[in-house]
Amino acid sequence: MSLWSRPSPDLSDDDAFVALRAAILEPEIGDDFTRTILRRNRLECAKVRWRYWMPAAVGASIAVVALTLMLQLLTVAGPTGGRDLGAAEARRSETTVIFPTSTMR
Amino acid sequence: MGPMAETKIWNTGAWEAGEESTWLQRCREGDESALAVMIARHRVRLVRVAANILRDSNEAEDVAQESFIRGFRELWRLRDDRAFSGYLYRICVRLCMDRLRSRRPETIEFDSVQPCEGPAVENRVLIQKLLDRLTPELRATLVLREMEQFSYEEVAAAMKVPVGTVRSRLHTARERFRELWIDANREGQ
Repeated sequence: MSLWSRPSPDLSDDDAFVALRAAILEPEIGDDFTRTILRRNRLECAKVRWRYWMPAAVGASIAVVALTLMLQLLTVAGPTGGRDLGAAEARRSETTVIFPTSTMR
Repeated sequence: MGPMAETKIWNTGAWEAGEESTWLQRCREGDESALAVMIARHRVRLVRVAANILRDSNEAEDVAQESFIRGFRELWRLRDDRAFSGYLYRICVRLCMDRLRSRRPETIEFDSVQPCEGPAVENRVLIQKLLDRLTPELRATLVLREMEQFSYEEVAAAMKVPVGTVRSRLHTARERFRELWIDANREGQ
């Protein structure tokens, strides 16, 4: 036993330290002690997994939204630069020369 | 004191060398039965250490549970599996000291103990009252050494301070505790 492994004899005999050692607590451990730790540990693991994957999930969501918007824009605009040719054609047909009819003769 | 003697308190079970390492490896892989084995191995001692530092059994149980959870969460940081016990006690002592620092100073009067509760209870209350007057560092050092019979090296590892600091703190704590004890007895007479 080393010199430091036990208190020196004068302190061991001291009333104060005898009383200190006599006041040691021996707590009883609750039945659900281990279960509580395991449950909380599972929660911790879930949180860690969530924290690990969340940036990737957020990034993927943003990418999907951006891609959808881009595709939508491309579909609406088309190769003509956004002019509505159908409407223009319709207007032109309304103002074209009327074919001769029997009343004009 | 040799390395085997230094760990005599922490390694209370009769596990062979490398066995703890095997269980810890399984803990790292998320095996709950291995976690339960490690908890069963250390819980009694850990709760007792926390209870004697805090002088509160319920709070001690919370602190011990928190220590296990933090210990398992940060298990990947542990390079040497043989140091697991020391690592766990270090977390526990740190949590206890944080709780002591955040406590409001309470005035526990010795007179508040009923005589019918007996001398053992009176002694416990008086000891609690005296320990409350020590700083968290002195209190934890005194409890680990005098009550839990940790070696100097174990106290140093648990409190993450050099052995010289432990000796110095222990000397101060013993002197202070003895003064408080004498004063309390003088007042009681």
